[in-house]
Amino acid sequence: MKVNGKIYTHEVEPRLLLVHYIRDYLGLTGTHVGCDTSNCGACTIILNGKAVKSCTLYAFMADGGEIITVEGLERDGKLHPIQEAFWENHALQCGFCTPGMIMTLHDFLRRNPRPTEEEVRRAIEGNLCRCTGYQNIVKAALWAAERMRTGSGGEE
Amino acid sequence: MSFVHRARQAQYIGKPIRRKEDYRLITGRGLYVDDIRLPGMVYAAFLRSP
Repeated sequence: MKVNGKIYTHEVEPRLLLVHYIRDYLGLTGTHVGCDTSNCGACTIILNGKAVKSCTLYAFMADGGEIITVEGLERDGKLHPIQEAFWENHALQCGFCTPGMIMTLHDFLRRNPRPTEEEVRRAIEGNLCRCTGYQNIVKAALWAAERMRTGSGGEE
Repeated sequence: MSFVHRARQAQYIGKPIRRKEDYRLITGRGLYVDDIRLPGMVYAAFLRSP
């Protein structure tokens, strides 16, 4: 499968979760395991253009697919607008949920570039945060949407 | 020049400042406990009685 633009080939057991493949085989530990119930969303990545919880897929299910993780958002040293947004708007404290939040928003903002606050809140329902109370995360999402619309600050 | 005066001149007081730890965290380079990989590391799993 292709991950962040690079092709990887591994033989794995059928029971290997995609999140463990990404973290342990590929060493991309930005994607986190925060629960064992598919609730928290800290494991969210983009698979074939859709945000998915990588803890709820087996690695083999992504065979031949294309994945983007949080590590793949930065381009030539430039942060993605969503990453920039989180930094500027203090949308993280411990940062554990943040990669998952960012990936969910990456998919969401691509589909809905002009969201309302309500729509943003609905979009991140699958991502839990214990620190921030979501307020600044929502602010960051709207900030990023604005940035991405006006074309300043980076590519999609 | 007092510290406060210098700080105001540097424009830190009353301004939002980006945290320095955030860059690592938003790029997925945070090292939470499960992210730590050391050479020769072993893992423990607990097998409990049903």
